[in-house]
Amino acid sequence: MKTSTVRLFNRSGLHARPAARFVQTASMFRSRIEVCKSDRCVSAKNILQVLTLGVDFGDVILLKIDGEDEELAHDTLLNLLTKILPEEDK
Amino acid sequence: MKIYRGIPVSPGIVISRGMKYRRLSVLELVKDECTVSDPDIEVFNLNKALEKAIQKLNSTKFYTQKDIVDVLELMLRSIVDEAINLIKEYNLCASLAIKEIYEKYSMSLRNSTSQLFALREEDIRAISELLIETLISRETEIAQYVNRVIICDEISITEFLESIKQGVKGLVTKKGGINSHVAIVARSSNIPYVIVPALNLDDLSQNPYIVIDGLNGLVIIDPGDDDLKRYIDIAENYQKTISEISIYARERALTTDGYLVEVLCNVGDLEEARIASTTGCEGIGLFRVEFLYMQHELPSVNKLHESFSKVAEFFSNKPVVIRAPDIGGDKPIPYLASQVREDNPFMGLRGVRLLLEYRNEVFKPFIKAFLSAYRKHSNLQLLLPMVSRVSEIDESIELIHELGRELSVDVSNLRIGIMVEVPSIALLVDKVSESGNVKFVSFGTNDLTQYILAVDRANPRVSYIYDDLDTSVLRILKTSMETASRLGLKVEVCGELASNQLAVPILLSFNTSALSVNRTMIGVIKYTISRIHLEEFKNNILPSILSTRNGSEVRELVKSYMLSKDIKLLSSY
Repeated sequence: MKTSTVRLFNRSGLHARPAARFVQTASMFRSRIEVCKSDRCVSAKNILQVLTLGVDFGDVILLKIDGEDEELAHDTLLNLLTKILPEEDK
Repeated sequence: MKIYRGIPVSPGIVISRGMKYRRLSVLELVKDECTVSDPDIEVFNLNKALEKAIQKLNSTKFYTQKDIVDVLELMLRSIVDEAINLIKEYNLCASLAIKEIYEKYSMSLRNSTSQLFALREEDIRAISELLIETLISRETEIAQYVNRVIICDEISITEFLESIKQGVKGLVTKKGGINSHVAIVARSSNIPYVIVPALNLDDLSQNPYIVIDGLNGLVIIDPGDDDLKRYIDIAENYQKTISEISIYARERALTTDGYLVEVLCNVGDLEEARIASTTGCEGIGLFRVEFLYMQHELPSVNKLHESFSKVAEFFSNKPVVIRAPDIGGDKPIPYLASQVREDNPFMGLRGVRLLLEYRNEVFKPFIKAFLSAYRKHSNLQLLLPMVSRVSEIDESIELIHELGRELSVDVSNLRIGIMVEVPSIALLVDKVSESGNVKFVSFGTNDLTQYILAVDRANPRVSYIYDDLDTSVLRILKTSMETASRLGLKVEVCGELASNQLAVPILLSFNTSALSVNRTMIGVIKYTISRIHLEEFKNNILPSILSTRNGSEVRELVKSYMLSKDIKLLSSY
């Protein structure tokens, strides 16, 4: 089980397009992946649930990853959230 | 002819026939009780409808933004997955299953604190409707509205995508958001779009002749010959002109004789701030917070603090001016219980007067929230609304210092400014500068013009008198601005006048250092500044302007100057 805290710096937070990228990426892995904001946790592989989490620019989220490919999943998702999405949003 | 002023969402000019469109929501047609005897067949039908819906969406991809269609597809599959579980467990009809899932998500999204997520509710509604329509094999009527401007109360993203495929030319809606998917797609597809909250479909004929000016947010129904000619002229070279002008948006604005002008943006809520931060605004000259006070109760200090911090972050390292709430008067606040109905709200309890009257309920919480945000974001500046007397400034500053001590926030470098919109304070700027606490003045030319000409621009019987380029207004601006700048106060303009190309050289001649404009006008205003020779204008044109009799004469003079400098006029004036 790997957990990580991430602060979102892409301008539009995790809405629509960035959320879609996040969900598509998470769905590639076999591990169980959850994303949490404050006390709410949802499955990172379900777009509707991720959208209702309401993650916006500047919010802090917690990633919980559990499974055989958790290392790879963790690194890939972190890279997406902290490097790729903020770049694309410019 | 009728002119509607609305919110510019996507720039461009369209001159065309409009088509009224009234949508019927299929969600309303779904019965609340509906079960099936064979859930497996129902699941099969739902999957078929899913594939058909996806195919329909994909057919629009060629014409517009691929990623939005991808998101909608993801959402479609997700909602069908959940629906299938409901069908199997409760033997529900597919339509009802979809409706229930829509309502579940709609509820949580609608209550979201962020406007951005509330807009996602529209997406989920759009795909739910698309699925149900496909299930009951019902075509939407959009397919017939080709090559026209669509006029409606609201439009879903799926309908809009379909209409683009059919060649829609422009869009006018009563409801909508500037960051909705419809708005994003309209901008990326160069389809002019204006939101007109005052729109009433019943007032319009079925196919009115219509002009949309997406840059200035104007919609003209059955235009007269003058307007038509003007817009036909602009429309001809529009695309070319707009691409020339857009280059200026991200550059600094320098007159030909080297005067640097700061060009900032006015924004009215977080979503506007979000977009503005990507368009070349050098900061926010006016952040209007009234939207936070238009709920059924006062906003909490926390909510205010969050909003201020967010805006400050969107524009990190750039100035962000937050205006204390200008509520009351013609913007009544229902929960301030002791509000008596005023006969003359324009001249009543509003602005800083109201803030001082309700200092414990409204002003202090606002200042606390502001100072907490300022502690982390030193780019924030504070602006006082509707100041009419110097004593109001002194009292407000005292409160700010008092709360600064209480919260241990160092306010010695905090830039505090006042709105100059009441003539009294315009004529007393020398007294304003004496205390040394005020660092800048921001001219609210809309209200200033109303007070000077004693006219309510919203009153159709006299609105023709309203003119912010009137000679009387210019004379007061000259006196006030020149005195202010002479005494070291920074002069900014945040009223509509700042977004008027004809006003630019005049304001600059009066020592304005910063213009705060509508975000759609950034490029146009910077382009204008870069082609003006300020000294030449001041010496040769300005003297005649100050001895004209009214705004029309002013316009004639400036227009010839603009023509001589080959400056194309795109803003409304």
